[in-house]
Amino acid sequence: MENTKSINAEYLHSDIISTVEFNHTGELLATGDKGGRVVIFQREPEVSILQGEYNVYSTFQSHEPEFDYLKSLEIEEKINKIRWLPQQNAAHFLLSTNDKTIKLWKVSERDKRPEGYNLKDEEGRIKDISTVTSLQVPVLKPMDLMVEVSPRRVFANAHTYHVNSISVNSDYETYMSADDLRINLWHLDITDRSFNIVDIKPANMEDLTEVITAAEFHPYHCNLFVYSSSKGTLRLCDMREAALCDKHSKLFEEPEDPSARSFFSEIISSVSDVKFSHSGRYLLTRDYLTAKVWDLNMESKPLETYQVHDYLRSKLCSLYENDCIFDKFECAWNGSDSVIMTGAYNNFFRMFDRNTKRDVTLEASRESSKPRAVLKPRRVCAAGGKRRKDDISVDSLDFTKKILHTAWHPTENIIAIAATNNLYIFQDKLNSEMH
Amino acid sequence: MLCTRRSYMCFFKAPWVKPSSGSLNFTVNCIMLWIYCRTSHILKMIMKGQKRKLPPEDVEVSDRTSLAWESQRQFVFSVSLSKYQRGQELPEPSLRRSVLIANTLRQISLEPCRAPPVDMELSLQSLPCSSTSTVQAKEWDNTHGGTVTMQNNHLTLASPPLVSSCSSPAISSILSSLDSTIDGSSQTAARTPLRALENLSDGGVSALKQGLRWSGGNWEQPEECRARENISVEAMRSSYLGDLTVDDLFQDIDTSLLERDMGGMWRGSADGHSAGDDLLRYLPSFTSSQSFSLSLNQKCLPSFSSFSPSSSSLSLPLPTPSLFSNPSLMRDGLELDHLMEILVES
Repeated sequence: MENTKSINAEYLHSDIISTVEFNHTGELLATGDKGGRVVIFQREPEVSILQGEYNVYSTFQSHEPEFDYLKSLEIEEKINKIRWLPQQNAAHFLLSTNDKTIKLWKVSERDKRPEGYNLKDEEGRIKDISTVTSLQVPVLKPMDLMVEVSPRRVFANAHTYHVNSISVNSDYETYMSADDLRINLWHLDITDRSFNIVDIKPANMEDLTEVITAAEFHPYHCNLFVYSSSKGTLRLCDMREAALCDKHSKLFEEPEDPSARSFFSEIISSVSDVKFSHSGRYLLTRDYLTAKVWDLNMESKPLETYQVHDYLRSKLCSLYENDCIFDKFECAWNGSDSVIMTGAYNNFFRMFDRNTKRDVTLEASRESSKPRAVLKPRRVCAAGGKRRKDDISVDSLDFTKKILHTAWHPTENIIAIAATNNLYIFQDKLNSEMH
Repeated sequence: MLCTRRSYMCFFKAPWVKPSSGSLNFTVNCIMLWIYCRTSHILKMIMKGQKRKLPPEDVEVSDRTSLAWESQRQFVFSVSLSKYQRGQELPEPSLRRSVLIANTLRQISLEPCRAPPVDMELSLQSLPCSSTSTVQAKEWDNTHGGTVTMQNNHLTLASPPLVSSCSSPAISSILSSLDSTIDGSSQTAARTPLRALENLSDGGVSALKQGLRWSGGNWEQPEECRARENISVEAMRSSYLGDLTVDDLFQDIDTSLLERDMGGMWRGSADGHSAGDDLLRYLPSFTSSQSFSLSLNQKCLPSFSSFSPSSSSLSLPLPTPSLFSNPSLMRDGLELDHLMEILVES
């Protein structure tokens, strides 16, 4: 993969990128950070000499820190998820959410402005009537491009727990938001009502053993959605069956391997991300050590299991102690659903080709990513194992450098990798096949 | 440790002690005090994770009888406990993280353990820690808010080898306190005395019985327990105490409230009498006593009230006469039960 751009920033806690999302055409790339800001990048047209690089298009403050007076708690402004709406007119719309509130933002361009007012002069001051001798029709003149962002809807006060996912429905009218225990269905135009479609809160909180970790609508069946749990199960629900979809239509669960059981079996089985394939036939899930591809028609076990960093299996005790075992990695499909990608530690990310069964480990770091350079595949060797040159030993991995958020362009081989406060965009220049 | 104990003992010559039975009360309360000091010390050790060593790696530790497995189990248990507590101290604990830690704790506590001796295990299994009583214990836990109950259950959980089904109320109370934190329900609501007792009803009694039975089970190894106890306890068991009955010791305690509300339940319970006996075993000087009626048991309970811990620490509070008529006695009683368990474990 060739490196085309890396955007650096001062390393503040608020600068840590917390979500990355391409829009439906891939022209725009939105990132959200812990400071509640959204930065949108736009791809330059390929006709120019810059060959389709991404540049900053707009920056705005999406969420501010709030204070819940009832509970005496501060609500973080960190953006948990951004989802673009399919474009229907010249403006772009995106949903961004923090722990409690979802907002719909309109991103529009202004590149013309009216000139020639009769009552106002160029600076906007009211003209002296006596100086007006004739009437003129104001005309639109080109101006420097200005991107305006305005909040169109605020969907608030519907979640007691922390929102972890939002997903826009293919009907382009509704979307859902999921927190730890409930999933709500909203209409994009209605902010004072939402329907609860999944509620797994038990009558006694003492009986709580499972939480919702991610949820997504099917890409074209507007009645189907899937949600994942902390116990490693996936539930496919059909909204036509009942108003409250507590009872799943399909339950995807892999039986536990008794020989591999440990104290941390449940924690590492917790699904951190679930994504439908573009075809709508498969599901991609990520748990702590693996990425799995499921066929919607087969509930008993995953179709494919990919080991992301199995060398950590013997380190689970330490990873539990330093809390790394609770890290939530995201995963992504490529446009043709032939390659899956997910992040790991030490700023590594992994890609698995489902057809050739080949995989590669790449690193997103300034040292190894010179502009226009081709990324070198990396290798992690087990401690004490045979070590080749440039290999990294498991013990020297940096667990503070984790790639939790990744995104793949919907049609081309362009990927966006969020490494702490840095955004890396890699592009495959040769052709669409991964090499 | 000894210094602490001594200072507490001096401190405890409180004016509320009646002149006529001054030294006797002092004796009894000193036993309780010692238990408290020791327990808080142990708990501080556990909570602060004083053992800063490399975590035992779980490479192929599938052999459940191996020491490596057991050491890992203990390590994971203590780490989970401290993790949970630290998580709770955050303004907004992550529900997913808390649920995963609680599930891990539950799994560890349900794992068959090889550490305790065989006779202890048998006594454990014989304990009727039924699901019903567990549920009722949860109810009782709920009514008493999150913080104090958490303490109780911390105490319970801090004795890993004996944690079996009786830790499920602990874990359930963890989640209920988490819920109250997240849902914003009042966790620090002032507890009116009557309300606490009214809510106890069956739940509280069963919980106490469960706790008492539990501790009663511990006492089935008198030699082991006493060998590890403070020598002063032995010294306290002087002959003059044997002549007294419980009534004499606690005659100054106002148990009217307790009797009114608890009388029916205690008498109605099928095996309440054995619970009362178990309770009395806490006072080593009275293990030889045979004929204690239920009414006496009720009078015994208030003795624990003077040791009710503050909500956020295990420091010893200043006892006041008003405590004896405070219906949080039951709660304190259970707390002391847990303290006893810790002691036995140490």
